[in-house]
Amino acid sequence: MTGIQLITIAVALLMLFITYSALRRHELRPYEYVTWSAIWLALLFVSVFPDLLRGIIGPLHVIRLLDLVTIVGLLVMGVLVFSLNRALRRLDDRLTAIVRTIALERPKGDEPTPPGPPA
Amino acid sequence: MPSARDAAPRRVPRLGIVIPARNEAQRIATVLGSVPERIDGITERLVIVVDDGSTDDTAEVARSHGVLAVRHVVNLGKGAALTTGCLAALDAGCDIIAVMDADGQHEAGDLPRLVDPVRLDRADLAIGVRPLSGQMPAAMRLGNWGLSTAFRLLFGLRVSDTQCGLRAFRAALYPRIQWHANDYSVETEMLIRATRAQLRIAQVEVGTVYHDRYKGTTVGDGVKIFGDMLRFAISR
Repeated sequence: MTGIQLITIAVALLMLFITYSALRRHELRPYEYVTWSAIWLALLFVSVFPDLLRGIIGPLHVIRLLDLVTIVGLLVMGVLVFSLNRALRRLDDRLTAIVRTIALERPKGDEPTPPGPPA
Repeated sequence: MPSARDAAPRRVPRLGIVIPARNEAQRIATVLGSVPERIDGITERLVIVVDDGSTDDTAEVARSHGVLAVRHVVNLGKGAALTTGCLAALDAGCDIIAVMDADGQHEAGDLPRLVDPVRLDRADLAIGVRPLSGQMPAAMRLGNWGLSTAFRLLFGLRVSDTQCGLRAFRAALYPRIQWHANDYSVETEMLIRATRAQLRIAQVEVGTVYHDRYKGTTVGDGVKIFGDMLRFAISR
C-alpha cells in the first residue's frame, strides 16, 4: 500500500466520522448523510482496492488510477462549486428581499421629515 | 411604481435625498445639518437615511434630526441601501431623487447645482464630478482615471468621474436605471444602464472632502468594478 493510499484512507475515514457527527448534531438531513457517506465510502473502496478499477482506466486513456480519482474529484468539485454559487445567490436575493421589506415597514411614529419651506 | 410616461417633472417637484449610511453615528449629524433646507424650484425635500446594518446609533441619530431613517437589520451593501432608499422615496411620491454619501465627503451645498439640470429638464441623470487634483489621494485619482477611461472605451461615453456617489435623477426613470449591484459597483451599473437607456446625462463639478478615516471603495472594489464593466460590455 502506497503513502498516498494511506493518506486517502485516513481522509475518507475522518470525513465519514465528521459526516456522522454532523448527522448527530442535526446539521445534515438523512439523504445528505447518505449521499456524503456514499462518496467517502467510494473513496475508501478505491483506495483500499485500487486493482478492482484498473479495468476502466484503459478505455478512459488514464494512466494511473489515482489520476482518474483526481480528475473525477475535480469534476465533482466543479459541479459542487457551481451548485453552491447558485444556492448562495438565491439565498442572498431572499435575504435582501426580507431585510428590505422589514426596513420599509415604517415603525409607528417614524414619520417622514415635515415639508420644507416653499421655494 | 411610476412609468417612464410619467417622466415629465412637475412644476414644483418634490426631492428625495437618499443617504446610505453604515456606522456613521459620528458624522451623520453633520451631514444632515449641511443639507440645504431650501432648494430653488423644489417644493419640499424628504431626507431618507438608510442605515445599512450599523452596529452603532446611526439610525437613532438620524431620527433625532427629524429625517426618515429606515434600517437594514443586517449589512447588505451600498447598492442595496440605495435601492431601499429609492423605493422609500418613490413610495413618498418624490419626483427627483438625489443620492449622497453619509461619510461627509460630499458637500451637501452642491445639491442645488446637481439637482438643477434634472429639475429644469436639461438632463435625466446628473452626476457629480470630483476634480482629479487637489485633495484627492493619488491612488484614488489613478483608480478613478482608470475606471473612467475603461468606461469610455467600453461604453463610448466620456464621463470624468464614474464613481462619484453624489447624483440626482428623475424618479420616474428609476425603473430604467434600476441596478442589481448590492455593493460599490452601483455607481457604474447606474451609469451603464442610463447610457443604454439613452438618458441625458449631465456632469456637474462638485467639491469633495477627504477625511483621514476612509471607508469607501478599496483596490479590491476597483478590480471588481472593472470586472463588472467587462461583464456588462460582453452582455451588451
